[in-house]
Amino acid sequence: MRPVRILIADDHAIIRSGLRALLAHESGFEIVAEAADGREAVELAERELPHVAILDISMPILNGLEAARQISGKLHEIQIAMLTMHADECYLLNALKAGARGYVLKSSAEFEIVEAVRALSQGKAYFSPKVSKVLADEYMRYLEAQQVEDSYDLLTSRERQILQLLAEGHSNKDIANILNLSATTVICHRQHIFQKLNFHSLADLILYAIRKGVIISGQSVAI
Amino acid sequence: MAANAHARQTARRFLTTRMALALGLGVLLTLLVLSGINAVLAISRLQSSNENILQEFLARQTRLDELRSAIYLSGTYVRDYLLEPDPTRAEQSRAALLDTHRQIQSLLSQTAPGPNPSGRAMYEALNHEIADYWRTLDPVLAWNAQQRHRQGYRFLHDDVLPRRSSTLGIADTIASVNQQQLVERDHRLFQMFFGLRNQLTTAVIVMFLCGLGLAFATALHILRLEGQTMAHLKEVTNARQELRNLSARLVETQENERKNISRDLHDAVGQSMSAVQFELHDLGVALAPYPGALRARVDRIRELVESSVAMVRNMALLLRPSMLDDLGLAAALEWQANQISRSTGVRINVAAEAVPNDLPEEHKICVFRIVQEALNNVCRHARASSVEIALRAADSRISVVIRDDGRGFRAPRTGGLGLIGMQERADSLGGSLLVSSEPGQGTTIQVTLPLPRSVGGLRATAESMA
Repeated sequence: MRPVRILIADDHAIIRSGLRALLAHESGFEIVAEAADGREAVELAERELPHVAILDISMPILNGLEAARQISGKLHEIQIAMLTMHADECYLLNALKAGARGYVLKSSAEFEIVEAVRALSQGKAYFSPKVSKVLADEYMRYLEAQQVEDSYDLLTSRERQILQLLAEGHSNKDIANILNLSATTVICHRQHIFQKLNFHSLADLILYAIRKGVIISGQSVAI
Repeated sequence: MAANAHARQTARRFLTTRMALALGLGVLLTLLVLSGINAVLAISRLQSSNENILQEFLARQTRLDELRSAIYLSGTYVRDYLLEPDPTRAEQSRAALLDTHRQIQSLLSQTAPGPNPSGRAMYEALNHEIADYWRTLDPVLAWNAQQRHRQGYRFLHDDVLPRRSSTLGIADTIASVNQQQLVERDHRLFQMFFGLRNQLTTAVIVMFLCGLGLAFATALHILRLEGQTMAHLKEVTNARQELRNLSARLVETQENERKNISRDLHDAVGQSMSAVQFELHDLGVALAPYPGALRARVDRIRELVESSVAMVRNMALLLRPSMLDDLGLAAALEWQANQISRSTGVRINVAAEAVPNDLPEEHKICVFRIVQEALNNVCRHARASSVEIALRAADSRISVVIRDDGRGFRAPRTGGLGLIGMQERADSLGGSLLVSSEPGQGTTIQVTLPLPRSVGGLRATAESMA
């Protein structure tokens, strides 16, 4: 089996070396590039074509979000994980919009980064459980404060299945295979979900799925 | 001290200038009054002397006329007296003659001699002639009828008539002399007028020159004052501008300082703590074969580090929200709104429209701090249940409106360092801040900042969050 090629971008050498140490322990991972800023990360991604790019959000010259936008815009096959100190929804939403499908908090990176890279290398999404929890809590508070009905009840069980699979990072074709449906049916369901829940992008859908706890990724690794 | 001395010197200079101007004005006014009085006096003098001369002339002329007619009359009476055969009638004529004599005497005594010597000589001659005339007549008056009859006609023809003619000639001469005198006096009057005209002309010229000098000095003084006023105005304007610059620089310095500290906290402290976490993780892995108690202690340290990281992050965010740099103004405002909403329960909605991605750093932080302060005020004083924040950019301007449904306040409240600080922030970027509020009507704060021309090439799509 070919090793998973990884790019690490963080402006702090100490973090890069920490990540390298963590990931190098794992078999099947290969760190092919290290970048100290966003622009370097984009250049190295174009040259090295890694499977997974781990990008710090706060970087000089070009920040991680912008770098992710450029990489995912040009090179669709590269999976991007954002590495950050921020568990705020606005960061997550922007990361999703920038094309990242992984979101790892630095405070728990040592437990999560390996799993995140593995999930991404398999084409799945990964979000720090802590972020999921923060978002879910916030969403519950929002629902209580605004006294609005949870729109999740509007979805049929099939639509919920498809919502989860979409949020986990599966393509329409994958979902059709998994659920034994035709691709057009999946697209039709997907449109219904977007209409019912008023989504404008896949990022909205993923954010919603995280808030609802529909996707539970990143089981903590016990020591 | 130097400024004080300078001020005193300036004051003294002003005092002397003012004194000089007042003195000039006083002299000018005095000249004006004096020459006016002089002119009025001269004119009235001229007028009265003119009248005197005329009256004198007329009176003398009248008396001369009377004298002449009296002399004529006396001739007639003499003739009547001498040639009248009737003694009674002759006696009557003689009486009339004597009357006429008395009349002539009184006229002569009334006719004072004129001031000039030729006139006086003439008058003496006339007096003399008339006296001679009467002296010639005197013996005749004692004549009886025969004598009169015998010698009357001859005497009349030889003595009386020539004497009368010469007397009348002298009277005519006196009249012409009188005429001459009138002309002379007229001439003198004209000369006096001429003198007055010259005087007046001189006075007008002198006053005009004085006035011109005064006007010039005054204009000079006013120009200098104006110059000083302008200089003062400029000084004050400069000072105010400097103060504003200073205030802006203070705000800027504070922001930079916060940004630096925040970055240091995040970068230096936060990252090295993250590295510590990695190390602890490694340590935990390495400790796997050892007793659980040891691993539990490592876990405990790891938790401590984790909460420290969270603390550092929160401190950094308080100093300066990293969203402002990472995600832009709209996202930072939404985050701030969320934070406050969560801690206070006030519903805060942020609507951002067409906000450029390349908003300058100082504009971002300015709007953010103003909104932050406004939200703080709302939570502290307004007792509001919801706040609407509308951010929009258009026509090279960015504006943000913060409207709450709180209890509001009476409008002319300048108070609170908060509002002043907001105002100063807006001022420092050449913007404006408008606060409108009524008791019970909530408060609206509107901030508008001009954007540099280069901004706005890239427009972010409208972002809004639940």
